[in-house]
Amino acid sequence: MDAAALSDHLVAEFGDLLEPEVSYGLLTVTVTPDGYRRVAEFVRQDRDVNCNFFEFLCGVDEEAAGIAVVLHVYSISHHHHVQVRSVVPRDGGRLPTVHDLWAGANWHERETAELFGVGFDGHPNLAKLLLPEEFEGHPLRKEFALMAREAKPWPGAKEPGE
Amino acid sequence: MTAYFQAYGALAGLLALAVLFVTVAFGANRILRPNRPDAGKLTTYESGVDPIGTAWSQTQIRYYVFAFLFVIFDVESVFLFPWAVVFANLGVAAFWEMVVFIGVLAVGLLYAYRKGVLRWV
Amino acid sequence: MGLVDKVELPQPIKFVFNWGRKYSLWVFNFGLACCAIEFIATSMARHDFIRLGVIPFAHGPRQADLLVVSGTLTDKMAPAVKRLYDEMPEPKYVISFGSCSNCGGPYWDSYSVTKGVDQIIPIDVYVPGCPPRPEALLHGIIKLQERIGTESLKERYARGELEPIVVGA
Repeated sequence: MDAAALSDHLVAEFGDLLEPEVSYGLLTVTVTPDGYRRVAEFVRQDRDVNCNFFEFLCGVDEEAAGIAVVLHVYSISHHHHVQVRSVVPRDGGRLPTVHDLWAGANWHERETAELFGVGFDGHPNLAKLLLPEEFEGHPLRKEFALMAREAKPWPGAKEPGE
Repeated sequence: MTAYFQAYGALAGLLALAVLFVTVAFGANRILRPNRPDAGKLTTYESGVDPIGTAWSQTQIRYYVFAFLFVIFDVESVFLFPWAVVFANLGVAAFWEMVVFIGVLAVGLLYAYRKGVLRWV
Repeated sequence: MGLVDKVELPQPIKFVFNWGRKYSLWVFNFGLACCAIEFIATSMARHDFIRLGVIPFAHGPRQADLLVVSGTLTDKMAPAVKRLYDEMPEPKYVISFGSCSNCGGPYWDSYSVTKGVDQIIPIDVYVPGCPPRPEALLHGIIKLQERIGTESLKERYARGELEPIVVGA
């Protein structure tokens, strides 16, 4: 199915629960954290969507709005991609885990938990994956200060983006 | 008598040389190599992380079967070598006796083949 | 009761021992990132370092006398490097290959990068570059071999701190 047809299919199933957006041929549906699990299950189990290949799950720091968690999956049989996006509050945001639907989500959720501080309910082992155990803080949040830059300012002429 | 012992003398000399060689090699190494013992050098190697599990591993049973068959046929060839040297002087009976011996072992080999243990995979 | 590191051996013996050691370095290559690819390229046909007597891919730290740290060292990997360095028998040498292992490199400001492997283990040769060309590694190895050829192990251990060689400086 192409992105528009997928979008209609999902809206037909869930109605107001999700907001679809198609950009460059890729469908992204934004769901509340309460509806996230239902949408993920539908995307996995429905015959016409059938997204059985897990691409990634990551976080996006959206500053005031919260932290968005994006789940990108692909269907090998139907050759289409779907992104499920859910915005959780910055403090104590939690989402249900999807590792039982896609086994690959296990480590991606661990990484998102340690780098952004998003909790995943039902995850069997949210131990630190990439950071050393004694690390404090959530590095990929925008307010996390880089110690090295505090100690020594960037000696180059321009900051990225200038 | 001295000629008889001369051969053993050569053997004893060889034995002494062998022992001397090993002693000198290991001894020189022990004396000369740097000796800086450290607790870190005694840690178990597992790519730099704490080792998990025991160091014992299970070997495949097929290695036992092949070693077993090897021993049997190796002993058979040990019997074959002296026979091969002298059987020309022993007459036809010696030949047929050895054929019987090899035949009995060949039956064993046929049994192993039929049991499928000769396939490696 | 090692003599080599406690007693100044006479010059002919020292020459022979040093000659043997410098032309049979076994490398425990600690490839962490892109510099590992350059290290592998140096071991392959065009810029062969095996012709210098350096043999790559030791089976473990205990069979190696040269550790080449190539690539970015993260805080999570640092204890592993320390432990593997400790497991190597004497005499051992370390080459820090590439900008990341020299000083943190382009990732100096990252939250997870150790700014240089010399914070963890003592280094004999620094090879700068991002990544350094294979010729730079060959230069570093040759400089290290020259140093091994003339060194006295007793002085090396008595001195404590190493005086590192910097390639290209």
